[in-house]
Amino acid sequence: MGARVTARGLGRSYGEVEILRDISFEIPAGGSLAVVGSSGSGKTTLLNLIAGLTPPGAWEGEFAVDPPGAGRSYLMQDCALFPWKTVLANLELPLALARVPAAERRARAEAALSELGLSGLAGRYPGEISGGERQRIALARALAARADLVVLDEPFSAVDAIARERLQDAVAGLLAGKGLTSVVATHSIEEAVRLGDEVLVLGGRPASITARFGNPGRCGPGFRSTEGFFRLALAVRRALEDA
Amino acid sequence: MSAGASGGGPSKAAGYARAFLLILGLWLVLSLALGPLVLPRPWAVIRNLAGQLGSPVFLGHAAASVRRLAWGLGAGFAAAFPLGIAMGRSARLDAWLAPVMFLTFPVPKVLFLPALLVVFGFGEAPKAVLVALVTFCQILVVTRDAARNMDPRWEDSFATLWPAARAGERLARRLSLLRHVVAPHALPAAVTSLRIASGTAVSVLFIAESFATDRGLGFMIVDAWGAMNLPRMWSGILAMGLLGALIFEAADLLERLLCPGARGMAR
Repeated sequence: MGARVTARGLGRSYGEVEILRDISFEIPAGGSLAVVGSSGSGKTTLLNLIAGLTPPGAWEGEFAVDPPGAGRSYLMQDCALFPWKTVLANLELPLALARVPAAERRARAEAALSELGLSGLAGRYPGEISGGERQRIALARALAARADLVVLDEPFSAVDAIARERLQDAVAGLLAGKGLTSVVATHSIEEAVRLGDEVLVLGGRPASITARFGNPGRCGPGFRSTEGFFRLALAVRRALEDA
Repeated sequence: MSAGASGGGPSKAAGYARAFLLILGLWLVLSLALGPLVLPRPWAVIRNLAGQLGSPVFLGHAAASVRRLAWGLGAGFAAAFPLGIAMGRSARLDAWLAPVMFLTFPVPKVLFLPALLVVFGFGEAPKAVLVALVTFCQILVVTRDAARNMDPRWEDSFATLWPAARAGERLARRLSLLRHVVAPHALPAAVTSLRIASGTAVSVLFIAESFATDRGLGFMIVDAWGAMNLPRMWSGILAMGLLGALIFEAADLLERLLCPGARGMAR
């Protein structure tokens, strides 16, 4: 079950340096938000806040996740999986930290791997598998941990173009199928349009929302080949150029 | 750790065989140049060593050296690794201990041998303690740096996994971070440091076994030297060299056993 996320007039500074200003959005339970912007536009700062890494009180404005105890899973760009643990141990870690009994966490981790067709990788180390497989395993960890909100930072940046599209489709299908809420930050316009029910464009210094686009058609069949996809991608591109 | 370096197998054995033949060749050239009375022929030394392998006296010397090295390396690692982690993660502790570490690190630890003999007597303890001291200092520096310089994103990654229901358990969270992230992150560097320290440890052990003892390969070398029994002296040197190589390989094996995912650890 996904979580509902609300942000109103969100701001974040590091000392005297203001990074984010007046960010507002709302993601319904099971919805998805894509954030695009140039490098250094504050995407990761925003994601850290949504993922719960920013201490309460360190931001301005209102930010709420409903229910408040909703499980969050953050797929960081390069550090999603611990390389010194096997794939299975990586999946079991959040469950062990939550004091789930050993037998149950093993069963949940194996079920999540099986669901994503990754059972064969259980005993491997992250350094022994591809970038795309690592991201799918990180997603399997979110499933095993029964996260309500999944935050993805440049999830497929290390993957080739064709595999990237396949992964985008698989992840979009999986998140929608499970009803999980998601936030994805990406440099890729196509990725944002494929994954976000709403696409936010960040720009300026400090970063604020310079454009936002609804994306009601993204779950339709063959969306990537539709005119709506290309129109929206073009509109996001223009907004990015203007930002 | 590259695949080739960690691989082992026939290519590694062939490499060792080539290196052994090269050393034998150099040895033979030197022996021919200096004469067999100064440097015996390699086969004479190998034959002498092979003849001693069944001797309880030789085996007793070898066992004493192995025991001292094992205790020293083990105790040095066991003490230095947790302390290095603690220093790397606690700015307050580091502020106290790092200056002590930097002041004492360049001091050759072998200088403390007479003091260790005074404190611990003439038994096994001072030799093992000296080896432990050498190992401790090297591993402490490396482990502390590895824990201190860890990419903070690993800590963030762990923070995202900590359950909201345990948000107030700060000590438990810190200990879990050490166990699941900091210690395994620093372990490959510490084990590599152990491997490097093992070479120094053999050198230090030789010096320690040269004093106030009648057991150990170091004693055997010095004793044979005093008696001008050069084949036996060179057998001891060869045995101690082989012991160093074996410990180096054992540390390599330990690294592969303890840090199997180390290839993916870029940071």
